[in-house]
Amino acid sequence: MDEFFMEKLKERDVIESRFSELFQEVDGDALWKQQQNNVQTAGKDVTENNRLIISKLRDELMEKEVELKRLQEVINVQDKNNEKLNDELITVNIENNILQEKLSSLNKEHNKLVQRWLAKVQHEVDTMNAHFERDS
Amino acid sequence: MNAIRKLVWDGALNVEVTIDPELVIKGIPKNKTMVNLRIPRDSYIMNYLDYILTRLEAYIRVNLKDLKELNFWFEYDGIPLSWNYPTGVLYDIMNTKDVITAARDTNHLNMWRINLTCGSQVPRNVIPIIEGTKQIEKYWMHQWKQVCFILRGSSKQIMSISRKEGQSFWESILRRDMETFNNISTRIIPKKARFIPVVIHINDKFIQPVAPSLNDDGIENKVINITEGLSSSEIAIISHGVVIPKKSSLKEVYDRFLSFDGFLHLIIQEQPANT
Amino acid sequence: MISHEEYKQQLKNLYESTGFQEWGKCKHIHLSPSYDWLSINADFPSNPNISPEQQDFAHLELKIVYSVVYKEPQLLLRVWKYAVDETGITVKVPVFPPDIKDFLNLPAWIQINLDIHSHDGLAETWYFIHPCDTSEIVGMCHHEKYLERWTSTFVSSLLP
Repeated sequence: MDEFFMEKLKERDVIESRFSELFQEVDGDALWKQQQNNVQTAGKDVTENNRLIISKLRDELMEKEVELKRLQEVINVQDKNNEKLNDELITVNIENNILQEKLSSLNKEHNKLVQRWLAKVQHEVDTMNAHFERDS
Repeated sequence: MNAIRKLVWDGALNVEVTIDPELVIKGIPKNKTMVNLRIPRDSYIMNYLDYILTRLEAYIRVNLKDLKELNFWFEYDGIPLSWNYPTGVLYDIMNTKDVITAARDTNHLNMWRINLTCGSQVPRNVIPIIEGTKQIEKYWMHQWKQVCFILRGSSKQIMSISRKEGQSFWESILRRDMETFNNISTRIIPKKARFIPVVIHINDKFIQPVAPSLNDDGIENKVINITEGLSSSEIAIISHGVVIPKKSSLKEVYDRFLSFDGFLHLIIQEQPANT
Repeated sequence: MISHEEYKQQLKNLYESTGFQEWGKCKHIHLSPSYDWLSINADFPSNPNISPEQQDFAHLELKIVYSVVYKEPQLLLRVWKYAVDETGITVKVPVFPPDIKDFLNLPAWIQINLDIHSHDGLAETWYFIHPCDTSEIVGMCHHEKYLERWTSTFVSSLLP
């Protein structure tokens, strides 16, 4: 039985380790140390100075993201206010239109009344003049 | 038998891990956001999380210390992986392709493509990491306590292992030190066991059957005795990537194929009806 | 130690008695039709260090199950919290505070860790209280009262 298992496991390894040179072995000692100290070991491609700068930039990025979120909220509030104002403006406009109509109709009535009054006065003057002419 | 144990212990997979694009600095080419690793089949994939994050640190848009707030998990094809099973078990559950054909083709690259995902809420089948790597060690030790209880009917044997020994036991997993692992595990595993610690994985479910090493007539139980009735179709039983003959003795298979968590993990693959 | 059959019988008896209702924290109780498990929604235990109301904690969920490995009853725990989902609706989600022992004010001898509990094919994360020394803690004297004694040790006095 053991020979059978050996053969099967070796067959498995042929398949599963083909091209394994493209895959990095994890150094067990480093892994153990990392977990012991719970510190992140430095990557080889980033120098200590760059690392510091990047770290600071990431902090800044984080701050900006928080700021961005806050500003987005401000914009949302402003948007709502804007909408409210727009609504109010429309209402006021409508009211204004109605008042304008009322005003023009009142103006027309007023003009008519003035016309009628003038006509009436003219008529009275004419009547009076006619009297004078007859009497003199 | 030792040669088999060595092959089981040394088994490893080509794994390509791609990090969640949400975490990556915009404009970084995709090939920079992945790592290719050889991950031992007999290990927890979560043990490699910090290593992967450190490797990709240069391209991550936040500082690693700020990542502590987030939960990480691995996914294959959109399916979250339960890290509490050995990596090889997860791979065997997810990959059911024809191995023999692949073996013949020397240009065939066997690789497992998985994603590293993060979010505020972990999927329900993934244990969230809340205490860092200590939690993984603690979890693993509890598995061994169970194993000891199943094998011997008491936890005394594992209680006799000192704190320091317990730590080197865990260390042996990370450092891939088979000798230390064997020294301690053979103290827990008796020559004659009452029950065998088995986990059966079938259709994305897991079952922990009661598996006596001898049947009622005092004859050694076979693998088929504990997998009978689990599926109505023809099945293949897989452990560590190889097919286990159904009539093998359960205890003998256990002694050869037990995982680093002390359990024998058997993966049931249902065969298509027409073959 | 208790056999599975005895456990089921005693769990049913316990459910039908007033035992759980008398435990002041109990809000809702449910026994599975197979008598295999029992779940309880409860208030948080009094803890001077943490005030659950301040942090939107909803309730504590307990589940009593049978451990086939240890042949003992086993206690599972989950903490539920209120959260707002993407659509703005308030929902309850399980949370896993790392300092669970402080949070629930559990005694030092308790061994607790996160694990997967699977039932009806559904896998879920719970806090498991480890049952390895259960027999010694509960004592073997009154076998027919085993689960009752277990409950008073692991539920009502653990979470006062």
